[in-house]
Amino acid sequence: MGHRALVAYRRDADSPDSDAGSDADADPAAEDARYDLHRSHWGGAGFALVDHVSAETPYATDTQFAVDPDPVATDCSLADAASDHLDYLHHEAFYRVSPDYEVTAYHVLWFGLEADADAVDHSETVGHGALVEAHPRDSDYVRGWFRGAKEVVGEMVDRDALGRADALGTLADRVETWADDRGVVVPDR
Amino acid sequence: MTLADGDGSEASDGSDASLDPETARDRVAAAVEVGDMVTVFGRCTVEYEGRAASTLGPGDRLVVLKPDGTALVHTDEGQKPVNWQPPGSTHAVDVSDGQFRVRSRRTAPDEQLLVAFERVDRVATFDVTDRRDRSLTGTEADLRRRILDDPDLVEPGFEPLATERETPAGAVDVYGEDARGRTVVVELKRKRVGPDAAGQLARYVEALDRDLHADAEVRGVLVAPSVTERARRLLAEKGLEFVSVAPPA
Repeated sequence: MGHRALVAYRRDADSPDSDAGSDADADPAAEDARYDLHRSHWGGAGFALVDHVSAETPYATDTQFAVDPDPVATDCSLADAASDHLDYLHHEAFYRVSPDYEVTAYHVLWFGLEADADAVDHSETVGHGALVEAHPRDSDYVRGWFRGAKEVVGEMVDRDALGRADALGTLADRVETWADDRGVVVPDR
Repeated sequence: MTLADGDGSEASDGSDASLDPETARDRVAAAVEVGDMVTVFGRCTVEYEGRAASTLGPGDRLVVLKPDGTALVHTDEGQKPVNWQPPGSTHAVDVSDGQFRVRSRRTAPDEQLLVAFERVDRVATFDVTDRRDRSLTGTEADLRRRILDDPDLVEPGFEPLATERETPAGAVDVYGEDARGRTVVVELKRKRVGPDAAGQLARYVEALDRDLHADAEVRGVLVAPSVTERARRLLAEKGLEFVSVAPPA
């Protein structure tokens, strides 16, 4: 949650913090791709950075959605970002920026159940959720759908129908099923 | 996206084109949950309890529920609603004694509007958020500007000291002090929010509690147009507060 965003800039080619050679034609989602991670305090607002990050304005400077040019981590895989660097409660949005500044936005879905299950007092916020590719037109629907899914899974935990590990697996399965052909990133657990 | 059920022309002559109460309840509940605007037309009674009490007998009325918590009850006359609740109220729906009911509640002061439909002619829901999302108005940063320009919107005597102040749990939106010198953490949301926002604010308050000197008192205030009922309960459980403020139009 939050309106904060974490932004992953592909290091290859002309990305701002890299001296690597040109690789603009490479698959931007390749598993071995490396990224630098930056924060934006307001960039989660309505996935605004999709419209404000470009080759001319890589950090959306001079907009209210500006990205901090100082990276919080460098040379990460997408899986590293999802597992070790993204706080799924603190951040509302995640962005992947390709070498040619094509921006892909993701919903950050936190799997913490402390608000939904009396049996859960505390949940991790890092490495504890999923990323689902966002289509800004239905972003409210996705958030509402996921809120409902968590409520149901939380109730099942309280009724001992699901253990906590199974609850996480159920949420991950539901997200992947619902996402269909959208991109999904689930941290290794 | 717009969803509508029922047919006004058929309903107006008393035919049985009306919606069953369960369908109306489910449709309105889903729309309220995702922050859609809702209109319901049908024959209903209206009861208001709060600083006064009033009852409207059965009549054909239009009920409008807005995502910011506003509720309006209109008849076929006049430009003003015959009853209403202000922004920041909470909408809840149920079915009781075969009637679809809309309950709109605010807590300070404690006021409740209960609309019970003996017949629902039409329910329509409207997603009116996309247009605002795609423009640059009404964003969190605008809400921050609004709070910084007029801190009394949070509460009288609130003094902002920093924005985006770092805590071990991450940067908080607005950090300040109340009139009694207590630390206040303000979390801003431009849309109706659910329970995770309460959990998020709780983490910032806990982080500052650990960070500041032992006898420092830290308050957490969530500023948003409205919150879900579940979020409201969680805020209360964690001793956090909610203030209804919408981004500038």
